[in-house]
Amino acid sequence: MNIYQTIRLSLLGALLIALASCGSDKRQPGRTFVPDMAYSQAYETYTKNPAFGKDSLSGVDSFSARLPVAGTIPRGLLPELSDSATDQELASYLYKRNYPNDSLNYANAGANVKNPFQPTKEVLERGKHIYTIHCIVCHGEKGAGDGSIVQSGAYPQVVSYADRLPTITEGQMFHTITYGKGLMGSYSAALTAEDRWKVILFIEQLAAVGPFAKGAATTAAAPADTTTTAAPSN
Amino acid sequence: MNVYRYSFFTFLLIVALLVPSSVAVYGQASEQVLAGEKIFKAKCASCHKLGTKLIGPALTGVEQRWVDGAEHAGVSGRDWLKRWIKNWQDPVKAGVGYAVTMQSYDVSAMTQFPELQDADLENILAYIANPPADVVPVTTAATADGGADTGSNNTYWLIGLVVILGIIVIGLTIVSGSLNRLVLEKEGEPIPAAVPFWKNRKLRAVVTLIVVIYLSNAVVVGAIDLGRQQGYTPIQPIKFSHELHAGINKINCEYCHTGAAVSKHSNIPSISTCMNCHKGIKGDDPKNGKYGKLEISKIYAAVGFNPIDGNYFENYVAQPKSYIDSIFTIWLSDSKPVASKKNVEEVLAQVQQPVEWVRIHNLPDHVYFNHAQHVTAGGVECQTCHGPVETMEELGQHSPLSMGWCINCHRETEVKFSENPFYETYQVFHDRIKAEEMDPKVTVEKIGGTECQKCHY
Repeated sequence: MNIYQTIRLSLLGALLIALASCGSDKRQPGRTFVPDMAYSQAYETYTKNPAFGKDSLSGVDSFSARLPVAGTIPRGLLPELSDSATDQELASYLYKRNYPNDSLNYANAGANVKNPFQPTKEVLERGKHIYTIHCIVCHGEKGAGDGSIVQSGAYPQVVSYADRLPTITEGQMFHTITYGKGLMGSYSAALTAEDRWKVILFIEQLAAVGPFAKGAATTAAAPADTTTTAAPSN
Repeated sequence: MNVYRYSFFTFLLIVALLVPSSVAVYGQASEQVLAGEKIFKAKCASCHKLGTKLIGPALTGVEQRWVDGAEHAGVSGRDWLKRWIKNWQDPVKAGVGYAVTMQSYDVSAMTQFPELQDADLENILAYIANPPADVVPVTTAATADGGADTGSNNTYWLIGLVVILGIIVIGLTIVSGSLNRLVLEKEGEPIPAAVPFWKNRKLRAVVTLIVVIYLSNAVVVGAIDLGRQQGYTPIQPIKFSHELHAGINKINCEYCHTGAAVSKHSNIPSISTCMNCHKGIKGDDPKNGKYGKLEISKIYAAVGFNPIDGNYFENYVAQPKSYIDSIFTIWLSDSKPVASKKNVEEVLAQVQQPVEWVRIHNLPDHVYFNHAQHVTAGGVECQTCHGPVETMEELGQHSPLSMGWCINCHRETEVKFSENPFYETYQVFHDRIKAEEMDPKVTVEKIGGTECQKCHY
């Protein structure tokens, strides 16, 4: 074997070892071809932003995502009502949180705030969709307070709708979903006011209260039949 | 030997002592206590625990506290307590001093229970005084771990098979060589000199071929993998288990990732979403998962929740860090398993800081992708792209997220053309389908899902 062969063989060996050590490290994102097209030059929603960092003039957090300018109206919602709005306007409670989170306003909301939606098939379907995403985990499929995290023993027992709902109004339900109560957190960020009202209708159907209560005008079916009363046919 | 005998007798002694005492504990769980437990769980447990504060105060010893402190206007403290449970405003209006001091809790949040009868109240008090021993199922975690370990690994079988086949090939070659030599010997022909195997030309050719194939394959695979992150599993700041949350506890994906249905982004949930449950689940119970308290404490440190008294800190970012640190050090001092110094430092590093999750799924900037379009209009399951997230304790990237992978799915996936009102605007297609000039099976590709500028613009 001459010297050239030895060199060639050892080069081949080195190349093999180098390639084998290229094994993927799952903790690393790997290399990128043309990185200037892959990574955004602008700050993205969740990236750190030095313009709002601790040392900057404008803020103390480092978030790129800022709060919208005061008075911004989310798409699909109406402007907030003025403080001089009539009771009738306020009654919808759909577009303005005019009841801050305290017990007095909990009672006020309960007395004044009415559900602007009718329990149509579409509304109840949407309510059911929301319920299976956000409520079922604790409140359970039938609203008995036996959701999956209660059953697993991780979470304290949750009150059953059948027990609690006959004692409160839909306005209080709305207030509770908006601000939270007891251990329950606020769902105002996760659910639009519209979705909150729709899920309230579905819950009322589940517990056979409100428009679904025994003898209520809108229901013809037997009241004991809580789950199928006026249920949307899928 | 003596030592064994000694420990065996100690064991017997312990068993002998334990058996009657546990029987005695269960013996106390009278009908009254059981009835009380039922009412307590239905009406009280959402806000009260016995040993610790939840929303309301810890209830162990509540009877004694009222008996000692609330006697008023000739009515005993115990009776005032019962009236408090039915309607807390009653003793407050009557001016019972102890009831008025309860204003330090958010009393107004307490529900009134006018439906409770005197017997019910007695049952509840009996339950609070003598709760039956809690039987904790310890075995579940152990069996789950054992199950994972016993899973057989196919790789070892394959390697074994290759080794065995290799031995057979070498053996057969030797046998055929000696047989050939025997034949030549019999026929009296000259036997060729044995060539060492590394000088064997055929062998050299085969080895060279294998090396060339391996190298070319490695180069091609490596080039394709540039810019792809399949399998990327970064270490996250909090050991959050999707398996525990989405799998075992069956929390819907959209419960936390609310943006997926309505926005381009599927959002990283804010800490307030965590607090929906973790206000109540503090991880001090071994049932709350492997890492429990330490990892949950990082949420509290980020959001400003005081786990000891169950309230949010007032004006959190303005509080001196040393004060917050001291509270979390106390909170972590009795963790099980014991928190190491490094563990505590990790939690304290999160104090007053946002949680910096590491992004896993990241398309290049020159690709437009919209979650709402896929989730709401297309009705695609999260798992189609993200894989079985509900089984991943640690989340990694399941799919390659390559362009070929996108295009392939767009070619194969049929949209719900007639049912979904989203596709109503494709009037020409609807007309042609009605006139039977077109296949009613409409894929994403047919409605322009493979046009360049759909995703690159």
